[in-house]
Amino acid sequence: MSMQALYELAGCDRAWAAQRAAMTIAIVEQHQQGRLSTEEARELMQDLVRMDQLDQEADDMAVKTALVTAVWAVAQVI
Amino acid sequence: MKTLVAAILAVLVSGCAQVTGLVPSFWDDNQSAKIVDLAVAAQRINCDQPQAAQAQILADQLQWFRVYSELKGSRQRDVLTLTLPIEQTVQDWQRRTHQQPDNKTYCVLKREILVAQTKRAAQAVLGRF
Repeated sequence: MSMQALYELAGCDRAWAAQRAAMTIAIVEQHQQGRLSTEEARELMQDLVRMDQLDQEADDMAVKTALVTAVWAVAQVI
Repeated sequence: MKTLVAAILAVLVSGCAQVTGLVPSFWDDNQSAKIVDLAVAAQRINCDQPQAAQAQILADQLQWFRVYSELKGSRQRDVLTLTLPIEQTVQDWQRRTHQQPDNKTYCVLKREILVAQTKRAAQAVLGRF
């Protein structure tokens, strides 16, 4: 993904995407300025990838919880 | 209709292998408290202080949470999957703090990521039925 695309995403109205893009930009810029080694930058990028995995699992849990809650609520009124 | 709903509930909360993946883990006071402790520890990371000790604090909190969850049983698979990325992030941080002198820039970015990861995980754990 190009830096231009990241800058655009950093300003989008989806908070999670904007945050993720901003973090990516920060890592790239700090590396370019010599404040992060290549290994450090790669590790932090991998951390961002893991955030996507975490988000997916959290979303799955939320959906399953909503299902259980809905079924329980229906059972109370029937 | 009541019978149908009861049957659905029974399936959802049962240990039936085919539907275990559909059943989330349920609210647990200890897990809820510990995930908040983890989120607080991440927020308290101070990059002006030695990083190794702070990484160890997070590792200890996370280890307690995961060992407790593992011992609690198979239905805790979701929270273990949820916290695995955090464990890997913290382990990488620990490894780096033992391999090289502290880099404040690295720490600031690592902190930002850990705060976001632990916040998301805490929301998921605290949002359970």
